[in-house]
Amino acid sequence: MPIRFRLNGMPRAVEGISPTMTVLDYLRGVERLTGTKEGCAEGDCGACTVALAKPGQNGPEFEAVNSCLMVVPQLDGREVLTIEGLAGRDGTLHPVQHALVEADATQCGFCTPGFAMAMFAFSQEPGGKDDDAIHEALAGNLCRCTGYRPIVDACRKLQPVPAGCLKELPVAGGSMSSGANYCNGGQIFHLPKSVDELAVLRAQFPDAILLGGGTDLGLRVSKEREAFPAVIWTVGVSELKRVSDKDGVLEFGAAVTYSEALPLLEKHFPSFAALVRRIGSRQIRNLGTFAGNLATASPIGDTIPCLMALNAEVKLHTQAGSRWLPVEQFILGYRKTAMAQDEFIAAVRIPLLGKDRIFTAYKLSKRFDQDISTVVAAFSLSVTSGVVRDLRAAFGGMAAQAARAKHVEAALNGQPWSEDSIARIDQAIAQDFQPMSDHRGAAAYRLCAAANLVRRVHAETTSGQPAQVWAL
Amino acid sequence: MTVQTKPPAPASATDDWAFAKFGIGQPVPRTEDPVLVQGQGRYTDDLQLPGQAHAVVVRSTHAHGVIRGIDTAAARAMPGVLGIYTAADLAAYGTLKCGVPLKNRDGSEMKKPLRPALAGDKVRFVGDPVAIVVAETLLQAKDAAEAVGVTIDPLPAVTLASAAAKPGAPQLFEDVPGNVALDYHYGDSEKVAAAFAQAAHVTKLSMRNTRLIVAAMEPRSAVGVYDKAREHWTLHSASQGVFGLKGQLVDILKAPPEKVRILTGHVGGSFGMKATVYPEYVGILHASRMLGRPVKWTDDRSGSFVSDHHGRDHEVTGELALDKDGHFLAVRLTSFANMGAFLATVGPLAGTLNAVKNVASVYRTPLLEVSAKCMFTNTTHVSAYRGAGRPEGNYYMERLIDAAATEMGLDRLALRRKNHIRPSQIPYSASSGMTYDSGDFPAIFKEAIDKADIKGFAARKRDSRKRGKLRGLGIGCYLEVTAPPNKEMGGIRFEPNGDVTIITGTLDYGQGHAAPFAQVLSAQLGIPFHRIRLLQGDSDELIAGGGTGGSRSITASGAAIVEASAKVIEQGKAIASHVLEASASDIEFDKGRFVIAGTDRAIGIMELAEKIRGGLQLPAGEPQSLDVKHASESVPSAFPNGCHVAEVEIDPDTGVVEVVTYSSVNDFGNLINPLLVEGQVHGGVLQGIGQALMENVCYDSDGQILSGSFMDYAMPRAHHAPPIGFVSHPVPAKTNPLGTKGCGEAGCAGALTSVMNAIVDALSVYGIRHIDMPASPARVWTAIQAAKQGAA
Repeated sequence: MPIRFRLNGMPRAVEGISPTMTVLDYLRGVERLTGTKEGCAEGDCGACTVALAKPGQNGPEFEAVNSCLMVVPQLDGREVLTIEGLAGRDGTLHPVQHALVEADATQCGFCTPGFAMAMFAFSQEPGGKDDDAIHEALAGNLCRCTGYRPIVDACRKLQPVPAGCLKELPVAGGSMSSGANYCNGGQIFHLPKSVDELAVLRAQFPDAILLGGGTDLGLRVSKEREAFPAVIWTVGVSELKRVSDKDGVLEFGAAVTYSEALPLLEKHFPSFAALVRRIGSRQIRNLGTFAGNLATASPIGDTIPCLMALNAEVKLHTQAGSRWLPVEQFILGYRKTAMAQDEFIAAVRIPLLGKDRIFTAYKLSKRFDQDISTVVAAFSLSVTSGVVRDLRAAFGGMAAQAARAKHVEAALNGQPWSEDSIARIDQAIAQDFQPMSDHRGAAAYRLCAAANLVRRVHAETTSGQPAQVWAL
Repeated sequence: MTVQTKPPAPASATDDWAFAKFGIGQPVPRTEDPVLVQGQGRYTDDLQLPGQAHAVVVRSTHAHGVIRGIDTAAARAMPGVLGIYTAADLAAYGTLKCGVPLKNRDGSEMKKPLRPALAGDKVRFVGDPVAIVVAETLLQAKDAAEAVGVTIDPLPAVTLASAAAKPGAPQLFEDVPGNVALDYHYGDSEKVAAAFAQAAHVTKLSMRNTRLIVAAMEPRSAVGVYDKAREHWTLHSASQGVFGLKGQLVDILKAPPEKVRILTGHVGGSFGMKATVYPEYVGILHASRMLGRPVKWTDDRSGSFVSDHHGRDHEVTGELALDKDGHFLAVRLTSFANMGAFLATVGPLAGTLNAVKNVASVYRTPLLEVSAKCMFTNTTHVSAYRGAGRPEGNYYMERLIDAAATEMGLDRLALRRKNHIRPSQIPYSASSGMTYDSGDFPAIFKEAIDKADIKGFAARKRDSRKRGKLRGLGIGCYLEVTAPPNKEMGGIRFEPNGDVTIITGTLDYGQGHAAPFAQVLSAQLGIPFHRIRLLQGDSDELIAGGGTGGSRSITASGAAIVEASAKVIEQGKAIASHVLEASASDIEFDKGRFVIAGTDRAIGIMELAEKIRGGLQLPAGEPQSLDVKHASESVPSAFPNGCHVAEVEIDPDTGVVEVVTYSSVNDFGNLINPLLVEGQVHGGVLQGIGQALMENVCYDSDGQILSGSFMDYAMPRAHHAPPIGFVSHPVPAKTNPLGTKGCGEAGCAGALTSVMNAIVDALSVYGIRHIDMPASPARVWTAIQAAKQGAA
């Protein structure tokens, strides 16, 4: 079956291409829509940004994504907008394009289509257009010519005007999706629609790659040119898109993206939300998922220490049924998990914080946006009558895997929440972790920073002053 | 592929005199923008020629080593592979050359090792190209490139210029002892030494000017086409001017000039980097000749980090001698300049000649000495990057002045005022050998100080202090010497459709030349702005061309257009005399019309062009058209200058620096289009802030680049850009007809100096008197800790 989607309002039924062709290569090479640019093919520069649309409760919703990190079947059932679809069919510039011209916000023009698409998606969102919001929306786009200021100025004037190519058209919905799988040249890309279908496929094709948002696996396609023989894509499963917030538990389906999770994270765990907002860029967060982050089990895994500290659980599903596993039992080692060959992640659930329970997370990196963390730390604790109860401390970037810091916990649990108790924390950290040295940070730095983050959470909880500090 | 940029016709297009809207000095929007914001730019990689094959370059993964063998057998057998080429295949071609004609201090010739397009015997940096693989598709070429087996016996590597100068350092070339490409010297050592000996005070600073990645957003790309029947080569490639690039390629291909054509479309940024021939271009042209079909190559970003030339990378000891009152007596720079593994076309320029020209800046500095050792190292070659020695020279001077003021207990503003060259001293013969024709440095300084509200700084500093931040204010005066003279083409062609084409050899890679050049022509000839287009990227159309670089385009092309316009008028008078039936000597040209003097009988230039197109019969010996192909003689260097003021806030607990305010007053002479000039300053300032705060190329001890992606090389992003105040304070240049000075590189010069001076100012509470770029959080924090410990 072909892959069906709409491109700038025009229906497409694509066959005869590799299912691991990136959307960027498809647009430039097959469609010859060369307005979308390759600046890095790593999700760092945003020159390849396109917008995806879906019907939402209050009209269409648009999200900017990196087309270099997506493969074509991920467009299944979607409405895709490129720079060529922004202006009217009569050539009338879209207000985003007008704003760029008016502000003198393009020079060499190479990054401009990517900026225009990021700005277009931003323009469609509710909410203010103050500098912080603008900076967040633009953090995934690099420009070397303009100095950004004119682009930021252009962003202040954005209005939610539909794209030129969609003026008379409703946004395409998932109903146009074509079917169960897409095959080409010995490669197969499965597009299950239900959890049951997914479970069957997982059992049938244990060697198939499970693909969520693709912000990690996408690099293996775009940079390493890996042609996975079989892929099972989870994001088309509607049950995995569910979010629930009831009975004291927050639950995200495995296909819920960071962006989609943010409002509820913000409500219950603002510190976690602040950290998630620094994962990659908005383009990355519109694709990436908690489940994907867990499954790749990277040594840092920005969300993993947070989930460990929050005592979150992973729902692993098979044809036979499902089981819940605490995140710390799910992560077994360097890129190693407890997921069996026939299992997949169906959901992640986080118990809400009890009364007087504190949760704080920190990400240390050399840059605010778009950077790999050097150290991530997450703490969940209660302090009653000045004594620490049930501290759960977890760190990323300190070992081959993200892990709880058991010695730190033991050193503090039941102790007064005081500077004296924390004075010996360096030794506890050193017992928990023997980090490596690399160009992101030396072992000594990591140990020192990790210990200081314990001091920081103490300072923050005792002074009432948030420590908005992120840098090395 | 050429891109001809023409503005859209206004809603009510009239051929009326359009001075009001499109005249010189008006902020006319760029005519490229409607094209670019719709993604309709035509960059090289957007090109898809019929039958096009794809090339991928196999690069050395070792920084230094002897090539023992290149096994291509397995790769040749892979699907779709059309050809694999190594150094032996390219032996008949010439080598890539360095065009800088400098001599060693002893008068001997500098060392210019030959650089063939592909490495044959040795590899000398990570990324050194060793083979080119061509296949039907890009994926096939990439797969085959991975199957090429390159056997290299590694040798020890050296990446720092000063380390390459040490005894026992790895040697890159057998015939370059000590890795010294050029031992450059300028100035009278004895006089300078005497001045230092007599000085009441000497300030001395060791400064590292960081190695940078140029990081144009468009990776380099090229398509080579060989036409066997015509024995003719075409290269589609980004450039900074097709005329110069063609000259280089003609030399390498050993082909007659008429057999080589360069075509440049839109260029996605360059900043000095895409100006010259790169090895890949030679490889794909050869492949096209062998295969009989076009061959395209586009770098990926990982390749760009090692194959595009890098910028800066100087280790400098700067010394300033002052008398007891603070008058400058002499400045001396002693430096190592890192050339990388080969000499790029203008590689040695930044650390030598351009350091000399620019370090003296706006100050009376009677004596100047520059010694620079240009060193080979196992790194990517280094060449022009936005300023190419201009920001560097200014940076050294401004840092020295601030340090001297601190050491001598003088006010840094007063010290600058004391040494500014006065308007009454202009024309001023600087110790660099340059003669400044114009400028009012004290007035610009005063305006900059006023605009920045320096009086209010103490209050702002207290306010920052309350928030736990250290605040610093920095001043960066600058004066740049724009690129040396070159012939430039001013072509004007009246097209069959009624448009008028400007043909010139500078090349816009983001600057937006079409509007200001059209403004100049419109002002000269009264041709409606919207009828003018620009042709710049086809070497077959050019009779001269110095290219864009060194902030020269508006001055060089502007002068060429003005001169060509005069020729059009002369021709037009002769032709109009037949139409108007008057003697040519009675005809005057006034605001776009040829008028019989003293009468109301006239014909407009566009009308005259139309008559010529309509078959106007003109006697032999008279001009037959209005078209002009003119090559202007050289326009001298200009001296753009100004003063930038930055304020930073530093979090002492983390070392994070934020540029919180930024203002600038600039003398770019007459502005043709202030909108575009401001855009150039903005871009330059942020590149300067990038270098000052975060950008830095790092190598490990094996010569592997650590900062080899946008993840690990810190590029400034939107939130790093402060609002940038821009004021124009024009003092028109006297050496070119438009009075322009050039603005492309000034932002960098102003930003490096003002931001770094502001950072040191903020850190002066700890007794810190210098910190090297980039002032990253780690570096600033470490400096604070070291200073605290030192004080304790």
